Amino acid sequence: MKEQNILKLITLVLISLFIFRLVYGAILHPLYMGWDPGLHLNAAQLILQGKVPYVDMMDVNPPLVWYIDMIPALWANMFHMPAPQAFTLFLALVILCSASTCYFLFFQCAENKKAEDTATYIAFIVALIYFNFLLSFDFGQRETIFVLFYMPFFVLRWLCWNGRAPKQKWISILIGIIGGMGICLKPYFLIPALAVEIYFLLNKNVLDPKTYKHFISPDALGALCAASAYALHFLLMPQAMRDNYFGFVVPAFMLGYNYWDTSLGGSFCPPDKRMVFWLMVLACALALSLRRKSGLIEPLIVFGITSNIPYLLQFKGWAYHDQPVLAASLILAFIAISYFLVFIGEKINEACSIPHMILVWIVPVAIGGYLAYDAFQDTQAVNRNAKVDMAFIGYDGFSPRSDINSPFFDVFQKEWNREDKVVFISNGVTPEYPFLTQINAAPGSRHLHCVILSVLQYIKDMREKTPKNIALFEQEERIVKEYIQDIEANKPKLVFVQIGPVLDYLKPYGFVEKMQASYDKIESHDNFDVYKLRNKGS
Amino acid sequence: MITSANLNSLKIESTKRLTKLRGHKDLSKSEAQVLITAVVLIQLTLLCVFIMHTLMIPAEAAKHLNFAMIVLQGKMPYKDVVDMVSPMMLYIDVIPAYIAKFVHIHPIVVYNIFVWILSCISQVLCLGLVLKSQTREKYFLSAVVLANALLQLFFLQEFGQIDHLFLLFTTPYWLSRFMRWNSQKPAQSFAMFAGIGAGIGFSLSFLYSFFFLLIEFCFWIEKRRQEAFTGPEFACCCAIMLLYLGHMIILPEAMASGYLSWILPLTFVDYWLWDERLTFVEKTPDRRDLIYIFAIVSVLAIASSRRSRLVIPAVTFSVLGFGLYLIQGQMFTYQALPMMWGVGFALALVIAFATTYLPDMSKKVKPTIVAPVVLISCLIFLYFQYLPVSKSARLDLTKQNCWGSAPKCDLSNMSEFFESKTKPGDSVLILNDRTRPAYPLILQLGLKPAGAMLDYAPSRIYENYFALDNMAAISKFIYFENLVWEPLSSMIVFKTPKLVLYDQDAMNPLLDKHLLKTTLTNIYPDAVYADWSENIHKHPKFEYLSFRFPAAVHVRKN
Repeated sequence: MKEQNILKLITLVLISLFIFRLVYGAILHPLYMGWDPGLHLNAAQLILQGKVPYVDMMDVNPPLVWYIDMIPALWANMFHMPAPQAFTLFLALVILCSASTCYFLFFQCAENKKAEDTATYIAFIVALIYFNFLLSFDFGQRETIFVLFYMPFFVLRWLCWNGRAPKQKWISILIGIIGGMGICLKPYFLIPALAVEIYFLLNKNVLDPKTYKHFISPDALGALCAASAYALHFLLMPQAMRDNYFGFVVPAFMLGYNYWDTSLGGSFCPPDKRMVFWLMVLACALALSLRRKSGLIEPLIVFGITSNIPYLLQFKGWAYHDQPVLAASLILAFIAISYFLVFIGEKINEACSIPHMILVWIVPVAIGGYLAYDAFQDTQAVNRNAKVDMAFIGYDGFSPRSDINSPFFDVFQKEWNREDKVVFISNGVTPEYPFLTQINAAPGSRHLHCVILSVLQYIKDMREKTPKNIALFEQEERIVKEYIQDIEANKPKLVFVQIGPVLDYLKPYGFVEKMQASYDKIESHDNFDVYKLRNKGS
Repeated sequence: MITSANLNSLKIESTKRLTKLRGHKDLSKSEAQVLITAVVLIQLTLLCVFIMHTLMIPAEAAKHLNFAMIVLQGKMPYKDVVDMVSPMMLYIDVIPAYIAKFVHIHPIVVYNIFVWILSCISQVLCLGLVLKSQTREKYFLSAVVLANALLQLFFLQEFGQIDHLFLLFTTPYWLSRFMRWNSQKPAQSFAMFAGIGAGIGFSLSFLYSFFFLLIEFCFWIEKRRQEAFTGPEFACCCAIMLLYLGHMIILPEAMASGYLSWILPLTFVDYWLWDERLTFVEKTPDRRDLIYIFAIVSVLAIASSRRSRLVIPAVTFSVLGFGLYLIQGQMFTYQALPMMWGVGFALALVIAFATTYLPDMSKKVKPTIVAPVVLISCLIFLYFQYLPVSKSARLDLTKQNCWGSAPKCDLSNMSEFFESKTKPGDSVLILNDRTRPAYPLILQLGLKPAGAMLDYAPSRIYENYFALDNMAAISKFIYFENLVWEPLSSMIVFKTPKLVLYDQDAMNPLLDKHLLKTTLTNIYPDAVYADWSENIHKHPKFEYLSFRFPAAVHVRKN
């Protein structure tokens, strides 16, 4: 019992160390953010300002992530802090809740008879937190949030199917709701979640009707409620929002998202991607051999392997799409390492009679030391390198220059003031995001980017010329006109127009000629022409 | 009240359930007959396919076979003739190449029959291990053996590829190791031969050797039985692998240097580098379907793992096979064969589990019922294999000094062009950084490759490496790279191949770099073009990496 308490304390210490490092990182890097998270956060900020998605604010993603991001967006407003910092702190809180929930489920509900049981749980929690440290600019993607929201639900489902669900039903319902929200972030996430349920079902007696009661447990119903509420909200949203989303965005994307497709080799084999899959192979192979040590291993392997399906269905080869694979693989690898450490600990104990509980403290000390060293290195790098005074964006303090992710920062420093609006016409999320979110620049158009134009171009070039497809493609003219209207109405100080391929989309509509009535081209680099509003003081 | 009679019947019930649950299901005599009949029919079906499709051979297998044929003419491997393949593959291919020298049968036919014989030996070993061993899981093992035979029909287009040979050589070993690690006794003589075969199979590529180590490690991690390392199959396998490793010392210096200092490290480099051109859509084969099947079957199998100890090794096999597939970075279907074999084993087990819920069929499952069903299925399969042959024109093989004729539907793309410009025995120089279009065409049409290189993949890898780290590339490979290109100019001048074909996009930079363009235009003033899409419906579909630009062709006038 005393040993158990020490191990619980060690787990809490480990969670605290990692969270502290994250919070310290958020303080040191107040503007650090990835591109898609920057876009989602900006969309959330615009919703808080009263903009209607897909009407006054045009992005192509499903809206759930914006609703979630409204929390850090609110914090940023309430506490007058940079939005990226609020977002990082929000994620730190999500990680803390996710890890703590898993801690509660493991140590209050799960079986804890052998050293391997505890090793499994601690390794699971540590890996779940550490996974976030490996994500770099993809920290905070929908996949990250899915993993953090879903994993406590995964653990709870494992407990539930093994008859060890918590007695307090409200906890199960809450975990189910959050897990359901995580799954709803992208429809693809349903695949590994369902695969895990199928695994649990087939592992039991499928012919016994009692087996199916696990599908109506409080957590399962909580997840179902979350999904149903999300589905219902589409019926309750404003008509224009629903029409634009289901009548335009969804059908366009179903036909034209292939624009960014890669090859199968491009999905798995480039140096910046392949380590995740090699880790998956080794971790799964090793874990299969170790599966008898914990009932958690097999469903984790199922989750990890089937997470490749959403990755391939999307077929873009974008590294963040494989975050669920990485998470599962890392957890399995950490579990395998923990068994090895237990084995080594037992051998040391046999050889030197050092008590287990002394040896166990090596882990948090080592991890704490590593995190402290990492924090120290980070602080040194920040102090050594160029900084930017955040006063220019209305905040106190400094940010490392390297965190501001834009080739146009100098243009902004020279030409832009805090009240000025900006328009980026780019078929990618970057370079406008996360930059506009970092400097809190107001977008000058309802269109946050023109990804939709490449989608429509793909439909025009590659899809059959059916009336439906032609009607979709003809929306291109409307979108370009909306850009022109917004620029005329809002008079953004700066307009950035991507040269290839966007200029080709805009040419037939005389966009550049119309722009030149009020704007001068001041720069051209990094595949963008930069226009400045004429006769507006700097 | 619990009586002893109740207890006994409870015990019997629970034993039955346990038997069903844990796969202690024995194989009845009629089930064994069904298994043997099915495997024999599948093997006969394969033989019939290769009798009909005389010149059907995968491109890489054709290249390796041609490598062996040229070595038998007295050329030094990895110096006078170069293929990016291990010496073990060369030694295996020497057997059909040698036979083909003395019989007037086309080398491709000889090769296919040779691989078929290897396949039969593999199936016999598997059957012997299942039927003769003291093992508790015969019923489920038999499902695996059946899957092993059947998978060859599903992946017929890859028959004879190095990965297929790897599976033929190592599957019996894997079965015997499964038995050994689970304290069962594989039949001694079968286990020994399985070990010898596995030693050959694992030596075909260093990747397979790594696979062997991982498989054994995974078994050991789970079972921790040191005595499993004393089995004759393990000893024979290790002996063959060590012998193979050791024989490198006694290789001729030029061959050892060419393989160990050039081809082998260059293969490592190729796996490490990534060719950015392959990132574009469809520039590697798109076999997402295989990965989806792998994922789905893994779920079903892992969920059923309590039914048989075979399941997890099968899934482990498929997971490690997935790793092999990824590490090679090209996503050809044949590179996915180890993964799909593991998937096939796992799926066969899941189906076998499902059949245990059916009423006991062992008395009813007789060869007289099942054999005709299997036979009819094989005949239907053969019918669909025969259809394209029946509609196809024939290629006269007597011009290649071989008996008979072959359907042209098996000839690779560009065959009409080559037939119109060359005749059997002509020397052709095909400069491309991929196996195609040189192979299987050169072998199918009885042409001879001019120059030492069977393809110019080594130069592509060298150039990619040079772009990344020119000092390392030069220090490691410049000597061999010069050996590739320096003799070409004089070879073109003095031996003037009948035809020179090259992919302009891939090879123009190299031809310019090595000043070959001028030589080519001087010797062959006129150039034409050969298109990949020529008569695409008359030829088998094929997989190719990167872009397929029309090839420039220079043809000697006389």
